[in-house]
Amino acid sequence: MLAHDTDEPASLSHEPISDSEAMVCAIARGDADAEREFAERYLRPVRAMLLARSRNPDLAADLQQDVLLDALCALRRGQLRDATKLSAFVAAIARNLLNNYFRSQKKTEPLERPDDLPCAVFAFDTVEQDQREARVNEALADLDPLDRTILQLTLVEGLKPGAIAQRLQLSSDMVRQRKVRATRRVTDMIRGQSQTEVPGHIALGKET
Amino acid sequence: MTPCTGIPAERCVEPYLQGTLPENEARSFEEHYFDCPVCLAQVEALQIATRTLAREPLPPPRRVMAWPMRYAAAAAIAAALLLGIVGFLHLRATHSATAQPMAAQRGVMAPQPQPAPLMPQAEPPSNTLASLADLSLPAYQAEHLRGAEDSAKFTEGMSAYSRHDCPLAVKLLAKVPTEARFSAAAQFYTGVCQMHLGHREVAASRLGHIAAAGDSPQQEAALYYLGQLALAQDDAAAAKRDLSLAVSLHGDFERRARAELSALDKISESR
Repeated sequence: MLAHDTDEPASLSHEPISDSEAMVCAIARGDADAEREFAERYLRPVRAMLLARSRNPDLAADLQQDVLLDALCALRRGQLRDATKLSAFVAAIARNLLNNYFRSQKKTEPLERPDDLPCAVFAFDTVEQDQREARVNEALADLDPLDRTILQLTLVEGLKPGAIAQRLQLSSDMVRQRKVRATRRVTDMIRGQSQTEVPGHIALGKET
Repeated sequence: MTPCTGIPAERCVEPYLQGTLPENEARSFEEHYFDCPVCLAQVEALQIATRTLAREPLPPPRRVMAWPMRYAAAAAIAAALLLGIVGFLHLRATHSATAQPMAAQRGVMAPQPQPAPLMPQAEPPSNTLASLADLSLPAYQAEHLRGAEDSAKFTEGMSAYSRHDCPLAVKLLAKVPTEARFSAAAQFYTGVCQMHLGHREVAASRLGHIAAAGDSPQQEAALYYLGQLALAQDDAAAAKRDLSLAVSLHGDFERRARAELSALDKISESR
C-alpha cells in the first residue's frame, strides 16, 4: 500500500522518530522540559569542544552558556530544518561563536534573547564535573611514575613517542606501550562513570 | 546507549586536543562525540589529565652515563642475566609440580603469564628448542564488563576457558562480535586455546593478527606465544624474533621472554 493511501496520521506512522527530532519538535512547541533536557544533553560536549579549540577553561566556561542559549533561540524560531542534524547544528553554533570571539577578542551579545531561557540547568553539572576530575586525578596518582611522565610529555608537551624515547633514554616501543596503558587507565576511570550517567542519551520523557 | 566502543576517540583524541587533527576530521570527530558518551568521556578525561599534568614540573632529560659507568653497568646487567638464566632453568625444573588452578576474578583483561602448564605434556629432550616452549594456557583475570549481550558472550567463553574447556571456549568466543570492545581479547584467548589443542598453524595465524594489529593489551602476550609456537616447531629464528619483540614491549612477559632468549642462545651455541 502506498503511503498516501493510508488513513494513519503522521504521528502514528511506523517511521521511528529519533530523540533529536522529538526534542526539536518539543522545543519549537515551547516545552520547557525539552529545553532543559537539551541543555543537559549538550552542555558537556559543547564545553569539551570549546576547551579543545580555545585551550582556555575560563573562556570555555563563559561561552558554553551562550552557545546553548543561541541554539535554543534558533530552535524556538524553527531554524533547524533537518532535526536529525541537531548535533551538527549545535557544534556549528559553537564554532561560529568561538570564531567570532577570536575575531573580535570579546564576547558578542546576541541582539534578541528571550528572558525565559533555562539558565538554572547550567549549575547541574558542577558536581558531576568535580567527580570526573577527582576520578581522573585518582587514576593519575595511581600511575607508575614513568607512565605519568610519558603521559605528561605527550599531553602537555605534545611530544611523539620517538621524541619521548630520546628524551628519557628508552625505546620507542616501550614509550608507546606505556603511553597506551596510561591513557587507557585514565580514560577507563571516567568512561565507566559516563556509561552509567549520560543525561544526553536519555530519551525525551523517560527517566534514567 | 551508543554502540560505539571508543575507537574514534582512541584514534583522534590526542591530535584533536593538540590541535593537529585536520579541520574536516576535527569537525567529524566533534559531531561524533556530541552524540557518543564513550568518546566524549575520553575527550574529557584527557582534558582533565592535561590540566592536572600541566601544573606539574616537567622531568629533566635523562643524562647519558660516562663511559666507565657504562662498562660497570654492562657488567652488572650481564651478571644479572646470568643469574636470571640459572634461576629460570631452576624454576622450569621445579614448577611443574606446583601447578595452580587458573582463578582470579579481579584485575584487568590483559593476559598474565601462567606459572605452570595446566595439562600434562610430553617432555621433549631438554637440549631442544621444544623443551623451552611453554604451551600452557595463560591465566585469565576477569574484569567487570559492560555492554550486556556482547559481554555475556565473552564472559561465557572465558568461563569455559577458566574451566580449561578449550573446545567449548573456542566455540563460545567465536560468537563475540568483531566490533565488540573485547573482540581482541576473544581472538587472543581463542588463539591460545587452539595452541593448547595442538592446532598450531591456526593458532599462529590468529596470534599473528593480534600481534600485527599494534597496541593492545594482548599484543605482548600474543608475541610471547608466537615465540612459544616457534620454539615448539624448532624454528629458532622466528622464536628469537617474536620473543625479542615481546621483550621490547617491557610488559608482564618480559622476564620470561628474556630468560627463554638466553636459554635459546645457549642451545644454539651447543649445537
